[in-house]
Amino acid sequence: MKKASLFLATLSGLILVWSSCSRDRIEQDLNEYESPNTYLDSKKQDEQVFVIDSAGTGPIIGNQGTAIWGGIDCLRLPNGDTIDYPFVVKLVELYLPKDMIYYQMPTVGSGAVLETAGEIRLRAEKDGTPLALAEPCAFKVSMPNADPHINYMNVYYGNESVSPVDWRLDLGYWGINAMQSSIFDVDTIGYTAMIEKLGWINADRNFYSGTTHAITFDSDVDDLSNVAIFVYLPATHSLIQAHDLVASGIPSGVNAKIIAIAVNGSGNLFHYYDELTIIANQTVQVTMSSISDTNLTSLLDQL
Amino acid sequence: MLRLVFFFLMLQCLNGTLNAQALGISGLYNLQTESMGVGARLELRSDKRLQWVPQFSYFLPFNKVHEWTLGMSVQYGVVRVNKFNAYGLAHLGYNQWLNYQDSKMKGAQPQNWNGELGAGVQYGKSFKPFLEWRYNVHFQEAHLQAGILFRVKKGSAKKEKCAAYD
Repeated sequence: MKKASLFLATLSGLILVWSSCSRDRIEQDLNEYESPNTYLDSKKQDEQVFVIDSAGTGPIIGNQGTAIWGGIDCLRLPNGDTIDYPFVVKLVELYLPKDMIYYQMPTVGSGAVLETAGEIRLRAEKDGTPLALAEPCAFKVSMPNADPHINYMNVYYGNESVSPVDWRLDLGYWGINAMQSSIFDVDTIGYTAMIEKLGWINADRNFYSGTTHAITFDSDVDDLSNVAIFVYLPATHSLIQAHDLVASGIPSGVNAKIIAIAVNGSGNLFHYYDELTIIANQTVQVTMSSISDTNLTSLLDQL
Repeated sequence: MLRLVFFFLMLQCLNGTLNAQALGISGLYNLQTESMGVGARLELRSDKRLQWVPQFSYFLPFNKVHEWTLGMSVQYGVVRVNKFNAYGLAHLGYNQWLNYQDSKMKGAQPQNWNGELGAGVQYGKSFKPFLEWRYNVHFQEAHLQAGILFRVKKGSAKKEKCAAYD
């Protein structure tokens, strides 16, 4: 009887420790989010459409001040045929970090973080068919800038076959023989250049060749798999978007502003914001918090 | 690694000096991680109140926790009536948590030393089904283990001296 009592007491003690059981090793009840793409798309710059129905002196001017000069003689259908009027020119202007974030258009070329004076997307269509520039034709583009530097920015073209768009200097990648200078000149508007390919165009500069670092994003409370995370470098207006929760290629010593955006299943907006000086590889613990559209917009305006 | 070598030396000594052994296999279910595993054990001093039980467990890859543990239990029979034995146990095991990177647990690491306390019952002589409930102090998890032991040796009671104690 004594042994039985001892056994029962032991068993009772063991049952008591049940209350301290932990599911920490598998606990997955992190805050879940859905893709913020619908929200970001709703905020992004509209693509402006210009119907060109007759010859003129130009330029076409976008609502943020981008000026475009080009002629119908330079435009070709995919089969190489010339076109006649009317045709359509489409323009997207991304000059503010907020707009680059909404469009999810980082300024990274071949893994290098680029300084930027702005991104535009310039396209032309005839009856819905995309047009291309005939060689050796070029369109003149001027991108507004209050303080442009001579011989500073290069003409980068966006490779849209990868996501996000990768910025390239070499037109040969698309089989185009470059005839124009790849360096932006300065005019009364800002930066100006002759562009030889339609699509995404960026006034960029590869400004750094030293040691780079990576930021890894982690969270004990939020599932970050559907969170859009950006790193903005205000000194160079550079934008990096984290891929697989890692933002890499960040120049050593720069000040970085981190902004993460997510939308939960109820459509509520969440964000995380931090500012860091990047001097080594580091992990950032993210804790998302609720924010209104107005406040997030204001935050992005202040980047 | 030295601790593992010591563990096997001890096992060798126990094997040579103890008189009855049983081999066992088992199935495991971790109540907190909801993981299933398999186990194998050698019960030394099978007919004594105090038993040494080196054992191995493996929680299979499809589980939320994929791991193996190699360890040693000490079992003490509290209630022994005929073929029935109810015992308390303490276990120390070296654990390899193979998918620790999938866990959000703070401080998760692949190599761990797990201490366990538990209780079990077994019934039989040559074939002994057993059932155990064990609590992992390190991870604060409980698991159930059910299996069967097969008596494989009834050696002489002669005591041999272990070289490790020379």
